[in-house]
Amino acid sequence: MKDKQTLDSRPLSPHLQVYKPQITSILSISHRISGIFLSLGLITMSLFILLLAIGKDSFFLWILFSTSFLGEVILFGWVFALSFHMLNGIRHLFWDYGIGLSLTVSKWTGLIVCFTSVIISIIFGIILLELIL
Amino acid sequence: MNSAVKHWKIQRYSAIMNLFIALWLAVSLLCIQGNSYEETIKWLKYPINSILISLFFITSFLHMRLGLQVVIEDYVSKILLRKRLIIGINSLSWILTIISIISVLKIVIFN
Repeated sequence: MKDKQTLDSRPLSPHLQVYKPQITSILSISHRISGIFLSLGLITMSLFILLLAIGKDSFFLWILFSTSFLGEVILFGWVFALSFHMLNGIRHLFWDYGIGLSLTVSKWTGLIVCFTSVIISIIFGIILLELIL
Repeated sequence: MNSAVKHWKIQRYSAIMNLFIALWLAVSLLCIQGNSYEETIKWLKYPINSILISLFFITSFLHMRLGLQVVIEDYVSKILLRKRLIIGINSLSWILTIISIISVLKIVIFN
């Protein structure tokens, strides 16, 4: 039987901010954050198709949004989040098969995911800029 | 099948499908970015595009629903609020899936 004294003296689970940030933990939380951000993108996609179905006047709202500076920045954010979430997702799928779980390998694949997603986003961004200019 | 196992498996299967479909959509949207209403309608009316985008909405909303559910379960400790949030997310994603597919069908049939 555990009394109150024992319960209180139990160590608390350390929170995120007490840990020294490491690439593995940073990527883990980034996967969630990018997923939540992409949910907003998906909802926006369904809005896009709804506006397109309603008609020309309502689709004009989409054109206004997607060609504005703020719209471009948000779209670019989704491109970055998507490439990161996809590449890190591939990493997760390999982990599910028990591949790449060692500390060294997961650090390296983590770095590869970071760099590749940045490069893919830059390529997308350049093409996007080419289209505007 | 246990519901946790089902959750886990559907999350992975939808992830694998999204690897291809979301990549296709991202590249397609980049190509049609800034296009007029008529051009966008024309793009969507190609059967391959209308089928893939419908599939995209189904698998992505499924993936989103399951992913957000895990996040809510991890960070929302009040049981009642947690249940309500999960029900809200589930309903929203099903409603938006249906609205999106009806929109695609409307464009394919009537435009």
